Amino acid sequence: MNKIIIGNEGIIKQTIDENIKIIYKIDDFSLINSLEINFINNADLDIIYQIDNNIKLKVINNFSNNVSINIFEKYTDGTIKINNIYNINSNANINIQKFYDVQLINQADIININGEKSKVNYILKSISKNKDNYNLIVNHNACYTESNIINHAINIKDGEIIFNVDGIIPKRIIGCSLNQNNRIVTFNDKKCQINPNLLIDTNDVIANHSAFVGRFNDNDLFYLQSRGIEYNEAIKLLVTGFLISNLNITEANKNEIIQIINKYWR
Amino acid sequence: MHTLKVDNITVEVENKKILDQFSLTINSGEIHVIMGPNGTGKSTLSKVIMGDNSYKLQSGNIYFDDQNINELTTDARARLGIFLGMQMPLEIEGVTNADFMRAALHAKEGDNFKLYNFIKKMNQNIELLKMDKEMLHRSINKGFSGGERKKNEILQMYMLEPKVIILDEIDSGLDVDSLKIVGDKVMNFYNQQKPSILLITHYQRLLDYIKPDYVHIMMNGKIIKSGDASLVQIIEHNGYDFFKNNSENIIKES
Repeated sequence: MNKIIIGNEGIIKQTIDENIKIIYKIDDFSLINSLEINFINNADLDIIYQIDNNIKLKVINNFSNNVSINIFEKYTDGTIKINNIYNINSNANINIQKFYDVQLINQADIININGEKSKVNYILKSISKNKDNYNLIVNHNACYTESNIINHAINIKDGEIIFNVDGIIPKRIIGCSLNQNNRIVTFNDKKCQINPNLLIDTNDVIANHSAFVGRFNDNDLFYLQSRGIEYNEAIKLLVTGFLISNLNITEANKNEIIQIINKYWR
Repeated sequence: MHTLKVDNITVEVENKKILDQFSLTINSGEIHVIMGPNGTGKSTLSKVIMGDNSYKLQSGNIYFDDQNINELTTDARARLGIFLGMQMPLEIEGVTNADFMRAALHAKEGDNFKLYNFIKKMNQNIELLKMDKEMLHRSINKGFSGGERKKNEILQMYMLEPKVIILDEIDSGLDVDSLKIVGDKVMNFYNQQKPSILLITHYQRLLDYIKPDYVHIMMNGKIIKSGDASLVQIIEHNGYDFFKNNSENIIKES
């Protein structure tokens, strides 16, 4: 398994095979840490962000033609401003999965599907404790491309969440499929927003979106409790299900997320 | 020997009486059936017994053995041994059947819970109900057919081994083969454990497999007629209108 661990000072540790090339630099002027990852052949990569303080990051991911890539990004602890750019060439199958448990996050992700017949699955899970912004733009720049976006977050403590999710298909780009599922489960009374935008300038497209902001369903809780499961345990089951479902990650990564969940829901 | 006693309960929803001074006592080893037209309060009764917060008791009491359970939470009632097989079992995305059942068994057995025993018991019961083992790793009822959902309810019943079983329209959505499996397995469980069973149904067909000791006809939130299994035949022949038209006389009579 390829793995990069990134801290405030840059790359702390990396285990990378020949299918991936990495360039890391810090711009002395803007103080933005910049990482370029080139995926040449099929690969799986875990990127673990262990941030103590504030950090600004720009990560450019370039995917070659015909690659099948699984990326898992885990962000813990600090205050992060991150700009992920995913440039996808033809016939590529890209799975991007990310989990956030940070003090504060300002995310601006851009997915550019530049080559025909490429597919991207993007799954974001987060436990939000502050005014967090998650911005995602998906540019379908080529025909017959597919994007499946899942953004699931839970807000606790002072968590306020904004999801801005744009799917863009310009004129003459045909045969695309664009799907969004955005959900925020609230544990406080702070304001949360989902702004799903499907900006489509073509007739030949399949597009779906769903958005939900609210608490867990009382009927779900009743069902779980009707089998003898106490309220707090039932909530924990629902939280775990919400944050783990759809993720296709290693058992080790899954267990680490469960440990984080156990930290908040004892 | 266990007894569920519903004593003179009244439940209102939006100023409408759903249950009206309803009473019923069920002992271990007894199978009771409640039949009645739609909207007469049958499902409400099942949820009120299970402690659904959506329904508030206006008056009356519910006892499990000698314990008044009015103030008990749903989970506490379940741990006492009351089980509700739902009319429309929910789909809960993300929570797997295995995690769900493990949490439920753990809640019931506490420190005595053993993972190995759980897995063994789960596998045995899945086989017994002719279910696909792969379902364990799927979200609760996600992608399940109506029949699979009902079988899943019966699976949970087998796992939890309750003392009082309420089955709310467990026959709805079942094809002939699934109905036979569900009916046979409920009866099988009954023969092994002699729990109290309260069946809520519209149709006689489930009673081909589950033989009731008592049949009650419910209308407008109360039982208007009780009898033995022969009462089902009268319903089959005459419909509920027969009882509706004669309800005043029947109530006086009963």
